[in-house]
Amino acid sequence: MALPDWDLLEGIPEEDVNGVLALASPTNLSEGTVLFGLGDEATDLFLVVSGKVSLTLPLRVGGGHQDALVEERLPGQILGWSGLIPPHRYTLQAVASEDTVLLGLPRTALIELFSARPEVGYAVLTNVAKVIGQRLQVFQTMWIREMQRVLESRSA
Amino acid sequence: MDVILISFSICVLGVIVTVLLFSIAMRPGDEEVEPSATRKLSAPSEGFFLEEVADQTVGPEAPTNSLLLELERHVRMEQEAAKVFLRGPNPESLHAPSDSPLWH
Repeated sequence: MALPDWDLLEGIPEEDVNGVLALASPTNLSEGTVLFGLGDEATDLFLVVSGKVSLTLPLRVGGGHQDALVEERLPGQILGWSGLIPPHRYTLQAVASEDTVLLGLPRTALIELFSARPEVGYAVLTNVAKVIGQRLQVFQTMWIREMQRVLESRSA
Repeated sequence: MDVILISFSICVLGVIVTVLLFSIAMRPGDEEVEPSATRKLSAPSEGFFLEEVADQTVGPEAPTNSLLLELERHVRMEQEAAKVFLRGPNPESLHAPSDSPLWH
């Protein structure tokens, strides 16, 4: 299977990419399988090889809860960056929305690699910061658009 | 004698008619009949509406699922709109409505 271009490993020399990928274990999820739950301890960072993962948060509906889609992760994208960033708790639930293959990168193994190869750690964490920053910008934009929508619906 | 009897009968009839008209005119709450009738008309219609609403929620999963699907579509469209804005940030693209039905 051809591997996608990983946003986590962008701009990193191939030998270092191979060094990171050597730490990974493949995980196969069938559609509907929960990869991790909200509040679970984040021990791994994941890379999506194929398929699609939905990140959800619970909405209160009629006295119960229903999972509402927040984001989706597609091939090449990282998933579960809480595995690298303290306090290491997943803040969303991840569910395979179709049959999906992931690579799991254990935090302990990554930290060992980063300690031995700080330049790899710097490059990887820079990419993580970039990905988090881009998603933050998307959500800031979505938030102000929702505020605008509320404003317009109130004034209509 | 006949004239006296006829006159008496007319007077009695006049009194009866007057009493009847007076009692009809003075019947209490005549003016309130209409509003209460209105309430009676509106009350069943409210009840009917509520029954309709209740009927729609007989299967609570259906409307909830449909709403969640609508929210999913909304999230996807809004994320795309946010990405378009971030490629060329300006006030117009920031608030350009997406095709999400929740915008309309």
